[in-house]
Amino acid sequence: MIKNLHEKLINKEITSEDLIKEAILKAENSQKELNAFVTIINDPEKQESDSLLSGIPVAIKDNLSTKGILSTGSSNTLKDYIPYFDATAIKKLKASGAVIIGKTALDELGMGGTGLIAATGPVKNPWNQNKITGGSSSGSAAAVAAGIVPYAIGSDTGDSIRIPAAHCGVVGYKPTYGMVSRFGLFAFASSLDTVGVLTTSVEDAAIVIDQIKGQDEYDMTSWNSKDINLLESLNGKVKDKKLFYIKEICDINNYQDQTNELVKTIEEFHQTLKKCQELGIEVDEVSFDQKLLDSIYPTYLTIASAEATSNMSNLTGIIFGPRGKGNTIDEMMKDHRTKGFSSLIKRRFVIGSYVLQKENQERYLFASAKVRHLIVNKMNELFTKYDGLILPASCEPAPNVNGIKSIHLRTEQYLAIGNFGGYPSITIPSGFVSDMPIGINITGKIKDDANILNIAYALEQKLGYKNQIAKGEK
Amino acid sequence: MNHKFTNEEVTKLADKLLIGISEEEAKDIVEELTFVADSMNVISEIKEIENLEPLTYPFNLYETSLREDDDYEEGHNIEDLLSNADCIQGREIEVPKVVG
Amino acid sequence: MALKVVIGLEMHCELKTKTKVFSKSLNSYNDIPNSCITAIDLAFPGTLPVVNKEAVKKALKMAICLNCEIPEVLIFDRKNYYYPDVPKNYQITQNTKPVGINGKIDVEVNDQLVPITIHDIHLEEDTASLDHYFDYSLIDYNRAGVPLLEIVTDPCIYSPEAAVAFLEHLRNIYKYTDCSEADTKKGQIRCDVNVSLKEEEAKELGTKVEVKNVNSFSNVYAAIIYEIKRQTELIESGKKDEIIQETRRWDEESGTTIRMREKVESIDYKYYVDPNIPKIKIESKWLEEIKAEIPLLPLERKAKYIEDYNLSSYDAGVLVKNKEVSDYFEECLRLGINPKEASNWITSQIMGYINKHDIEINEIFLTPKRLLGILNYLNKGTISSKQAKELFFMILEKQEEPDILIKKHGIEQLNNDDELINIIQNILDNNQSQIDEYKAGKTKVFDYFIGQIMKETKGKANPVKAKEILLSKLK
Repeated sequence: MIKNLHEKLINKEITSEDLIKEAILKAENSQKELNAFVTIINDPEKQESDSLLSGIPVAIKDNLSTKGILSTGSSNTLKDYIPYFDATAIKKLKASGAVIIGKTALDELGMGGTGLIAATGPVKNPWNQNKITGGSSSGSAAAVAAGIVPYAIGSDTGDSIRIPAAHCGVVGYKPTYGMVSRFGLFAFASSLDTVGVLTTSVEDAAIVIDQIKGQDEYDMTSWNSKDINLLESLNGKVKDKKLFYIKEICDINNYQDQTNELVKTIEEFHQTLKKCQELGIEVDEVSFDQKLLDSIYPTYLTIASAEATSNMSNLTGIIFGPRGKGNTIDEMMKDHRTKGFSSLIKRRFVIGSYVLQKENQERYLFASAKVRHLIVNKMNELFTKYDGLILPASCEPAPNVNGIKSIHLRTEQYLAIGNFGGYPSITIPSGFVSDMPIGINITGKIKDDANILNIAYALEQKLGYKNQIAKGEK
Repeated sequence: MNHKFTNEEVTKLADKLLIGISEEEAKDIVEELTFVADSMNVISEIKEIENLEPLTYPFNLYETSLREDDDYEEGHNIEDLLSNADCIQGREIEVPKVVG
Repeated sequence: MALKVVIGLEMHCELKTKTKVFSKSLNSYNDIPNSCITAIDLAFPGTLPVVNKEAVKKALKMAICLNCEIPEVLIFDRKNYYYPDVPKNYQITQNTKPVGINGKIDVEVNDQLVPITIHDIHLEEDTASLDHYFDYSLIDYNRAGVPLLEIVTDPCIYSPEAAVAFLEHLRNIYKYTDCSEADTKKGQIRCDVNVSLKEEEAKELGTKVEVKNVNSFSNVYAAIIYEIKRQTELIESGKKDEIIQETRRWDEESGTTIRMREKVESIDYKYYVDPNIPKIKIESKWLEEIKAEIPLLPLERKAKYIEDYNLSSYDAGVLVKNKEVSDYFEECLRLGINPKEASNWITSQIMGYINKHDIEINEIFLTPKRLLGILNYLNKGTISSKQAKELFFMILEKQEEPDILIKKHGIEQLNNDDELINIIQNILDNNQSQIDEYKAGKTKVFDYFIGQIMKETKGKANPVKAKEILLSKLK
């Protein structure tokens, strides 16, 4: 879609002004139904460039620092925060001529997987407003799925790009950890956080990350990816590539509660595997220890919460954010944090703090970090034999908004494997179940993004959901 | 064998993080902490983790070089630095008197 | 019941770098609040630490000087606590793999070498400074993020004298290696002092009391003395239970320590590895390079002075006690001044002068080159040693070159033999009775004649020559 828009701009069939005006108008009109935006920017900054992104509108997840533009992280602790500097990824986007038309809502500070806990209220799924978008990049996924912007920047700590992409029927790509600088991304769990993108095609995902990746002197965990050119790597040649899937996740007999939607999603997944084989890709089944799979979620919860509670202790309302009430500084900070954070965040913080306590670290944090190590070792070993892991992005289409319990104890969060090892991981739409889109996910070894994207690119052509947006438009 | 979490306990934990929680929130935290604690019992049965180090980074980034000390940045504009602070005096942030 | 004091020290010292330890902001003292600040120093959302190579290098250098084991990889950890002087509300420090562990260094206390063992050395960030007013405080973040090295000893120090000797020795090493200015006046050094008492024979340590944030060595000394007294009195009056594990602070005004908090309610800092800073591999090649940069340290210089230049242990000790003094001495040697002579001048005249005026040796006008000027005149016999001393003070006070002063004030020695003979003959002619006394064996009269000669020549007579002539005349 981006290439197409670029060509039209070059040929003067359309103007950037029109594109931007249209995106802003669509964004405004969508707010009542979708509530995807925290801020819509009416007179966006423009910078000419000869990149493919020049003059094309984009939406940014509100947990990325944007100079002079409200950046709330969808948290009341930052409800008025206007940064005076850009995140590195934003700087690069601007230099590419991308035009930021809005900041999108997220599950507060990136925590939560529903799209229901932003300070500005729940984000609705463009395919069906009674369904959740998934999170935490909920607004970004909705904005792309609704055709408001061709792409939106997101971030992914456990599956925060790849689940909403699946639920909203778009492409969601989390690059290898450190490929895009985290400078300016509000930290959730630093060892897992990754900046990525939501698009309507694999090609667009490649174009965007090509522009914003790169080693950054302000992020020690970023690395040099000069040798990687994602767009040029998309040739569709995937014959003799090898994928594996995890038996325990993809075998319907392994589930006790076999809902209709689960059965169909698993069936669809096996259909997709057949299409992979038709492309000449070899697909193997690999069995995992069920205990290890069951431990992914609690392990993730433990590690992410521990990092989050420390990362977000800078949110006190002293240097930025609304000053709390109180007679002492502690009272002020407590008032700010008590009022500013939602229940879910508080829960995560307390859990994180508990597992960080000296006497609990061994049993909780270290045990979890060891499980993480074990899983990463296993995956790295499998990646010596296989190009990637293929899985259903989610075992069900987007659930109903009303069907979400206050505590959504998700026993399946296997996409977090991608964050445990920092692997490149991409979700693409693969069909429909109960009139809602579903997706498949491919995860590969670190720094092998080009290979993974190319497999997804070939499969995308075979599946036929490229450039899909909600309401049947194509 | 598990420790039984109480509302009082998690309220105290939250307080140390300078966070106030309601009874309802305390109850939810107890529930989720209990889930985590139970899960750790399962994890402790995974024998293969015994000889592994805790993994803190997704992968080794040894090639990362340290920052040379020659390049520096002038202090940022004070208006920028303090523009989001609610309570300032001159060039500084004001807080209620802090006692050591 | 004899009580023995056991002391452990934690010495924090700011390192000398151009930029801060995790940001590119300048590491410099600035009176204008918040003028050396970038986004990272205020912990704005999304900012990340980037480790300063020079700070790591200097930390490693100190670890090498203190004979520490240095790990193959360094790790930085977070120390979590809510306090407004740390904007992140965690301090980045080192807990898992600090720059050095298990070090050992000998310190001279009353001419004896005392071994001190180092538990660990870790690199961390300094905190912001708070200025307290009547009912509010203001925060200046200029100091936040300045590289701070913390050196932690084992509880292995047994007297306040040894504690201070150790601290002075460390300050010296900081200066010798140029790792820090180590200036207590600028607040660059702060110490935490752990003091406990035990019975002489007891194996177990007594209850430890920590005195935090002591900002000068004399206060460290005073705090230890005070704690020994306080704890001794409690023990001797049967109130041993009242010595509890607690944190106190030194109150300079009252000269006492005051309770801050009991350890019971101590904070769990929830240390854990900072995921934003990858493990830092220490290449052995780099360590070798750092090692090669380390100059001779005080005790090594002292040994060299004794061995190569035949100086007394006392004089050599005085010379190395202060790096600037030692550097001054070595500069003198480079200029060709005889080591003994240089040492004598420095340890007596120069040290006397700088101590009296409370200034540093490199602040005085009398540089080693100017000292050489004095010594050249002296050794050629142009001036007497008495005149040399006069010239010395003249140079310091008038701030003029030796050559100019000598000309201006006609400072020179009377060396002319004929003139001297005349003067001496004259004196002898007028003092026949003294000559008789001398010849009768009262040799003391000789000094009387010298005095007369000096009086007559206004002190300018070359004393050696005058003696020679007088002796020959009195034969």
